[in-house]
Amino acid sequence: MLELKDITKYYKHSVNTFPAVDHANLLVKKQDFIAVTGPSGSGKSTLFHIMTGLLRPSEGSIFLDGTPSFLTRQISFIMQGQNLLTNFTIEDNLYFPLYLAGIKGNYRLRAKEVLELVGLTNTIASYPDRLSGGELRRISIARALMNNPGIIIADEPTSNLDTDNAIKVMELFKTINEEGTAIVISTHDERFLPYSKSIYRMDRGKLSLL
Amino acid sequence: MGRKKKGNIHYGHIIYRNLKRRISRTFLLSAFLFFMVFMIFSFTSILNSMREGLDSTVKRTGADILLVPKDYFSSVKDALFLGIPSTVYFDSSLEEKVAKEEGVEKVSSQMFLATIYNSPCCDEAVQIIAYHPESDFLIQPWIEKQLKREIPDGEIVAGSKLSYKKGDTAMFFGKKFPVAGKLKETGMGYDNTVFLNFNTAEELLKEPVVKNYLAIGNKKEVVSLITVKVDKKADIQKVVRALQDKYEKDNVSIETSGKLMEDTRHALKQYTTYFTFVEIILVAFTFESLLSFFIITMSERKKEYGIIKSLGGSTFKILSITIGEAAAIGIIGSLAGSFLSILILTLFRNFILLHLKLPYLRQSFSDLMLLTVFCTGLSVLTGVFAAILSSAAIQRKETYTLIRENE
Repeated sequence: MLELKDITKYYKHSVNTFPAVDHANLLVKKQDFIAVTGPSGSGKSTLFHIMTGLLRPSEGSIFLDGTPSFLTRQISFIMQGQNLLTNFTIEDNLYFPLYLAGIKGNYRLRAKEVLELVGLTNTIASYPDRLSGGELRRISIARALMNNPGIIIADEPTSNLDTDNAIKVMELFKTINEEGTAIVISTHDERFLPYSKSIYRMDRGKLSLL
Repeated sequence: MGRKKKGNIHYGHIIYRNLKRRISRTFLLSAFLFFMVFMIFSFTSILNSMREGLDSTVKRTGADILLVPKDYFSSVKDALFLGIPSTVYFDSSLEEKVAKEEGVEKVSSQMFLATIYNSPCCDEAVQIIAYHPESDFLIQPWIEKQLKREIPDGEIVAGSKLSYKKGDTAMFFGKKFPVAGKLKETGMGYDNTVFLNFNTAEELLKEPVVKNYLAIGNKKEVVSLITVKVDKKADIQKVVRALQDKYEKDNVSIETSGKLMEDTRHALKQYTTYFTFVEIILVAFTFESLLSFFIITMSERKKEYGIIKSLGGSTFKILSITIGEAAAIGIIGSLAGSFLSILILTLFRNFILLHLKLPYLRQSFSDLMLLTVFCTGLSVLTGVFAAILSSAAIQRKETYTLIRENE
């Protein structure tokens, strides 16, 4: 269970300070599928980076299973846009989260499982620059699954994808969620909101449940 | 890299992939270090060779005081250092007189004879040195150690750079001499010299070619160099001054053997200062270039580092990857630079010897290895330090900022 309590993040713009995230509260439970919608610049990405621990909040606290600190391993984050390491093959990219977490052993079996899940087993030896935008996004999801995380947080996972690919990605999240992983996505495309079980709106840093 | 079979990934593989997939960047960065190491390696090799040659000459000259014909001190020095053939002489009676002086322990003499270049009389243009095996305390112990005997009358011993082998016959001034042996390399003029005893030299002086064409041919009882060993209790400078007071009027220069090396030592010191200065400039320039290049590439790689952080990579992990890449680039550049330097110094050895007037250009395998290790260390440190400095700003930034800055 991930809990955000009264999170605020201030940014400085010239001499002014403004809150990109303004006293946000959010509770992510097991098997939740949460969508956060809102216009560009509303603070969604800032909130998502705070949720994963990659950005420190100015105020407020984050708890994972009741403790104030949490391991990144338990939460996988899919950043906005192309976020694979281009110097490495898809296989290497999939291995990275396990290597960085210090997990020893053979990663190949797990890599094959997640690639099968996203339907891209034939890409294992390819480099990211050989794949389409939709394939890259699905590989990012596969990589997020490598650690068997409890929560996957995805920032705009359908942006810049055509409708067919966007649907494939959302269907994939639905399958993963059904298998027990909590999903939190941000999107400004309202067509995909029905995939989620609860919808939040972000507007000028304020987060509210719809 | 052996990773495919294992089904995982490791530090070396990450460095290898990053360098291989950005081959032009790797090549350019290595090129900076390659150039630096090539210059430092070459300079240091040449300086070490000069130093070895000097040390060898000092060791083998061995005498405390040298007496040479007035105004021919530099000719004797060139003959001893570079093996440049020269014929100089003065009255040999001085040897007996000097031997009786206070503080003098041993005295011996040598005669220098230059063969005639490009003449049917002689095989090669070489320096011939005649000495007295019974009294000589410089050449004789060294030759005896290698030959295991004295030079027989009528035979010669060849320096290492000469083409003769043991058992060959050499011809000088129309007279043939069996070669009794060949000496090991010394790094001084002795390598271009033919040695014989005074009995053989006397016979040589009787040859018509010598008599008719060389000024020394008509002279009797002459020598080119008198070597003096001073008694351990005596003060060398005092003995020199005493000899100068007494004998300089006889057209002879009397100096300590240290004086013989003075110019060379001074030149070596000057070269060392210049080279050190150039090396410092070179390292600073390379460091500055690498730092600029790393800062530019770091800026390009912000998103890559952001992705690694978002996958759970720590700041230390990213720094260790950066350092690993810089170290690998340093090793590649340094090994390539060292190898090319050795290759060029070997292939163009004679050209370099001739143009830099070096008596000697060779280093032992262990010295070369030591220099390679030093250059590799310097190269790796330069690269790693530049990488650490350039990444410092990035390490302080939050992941979100890193990812967003280049968008």
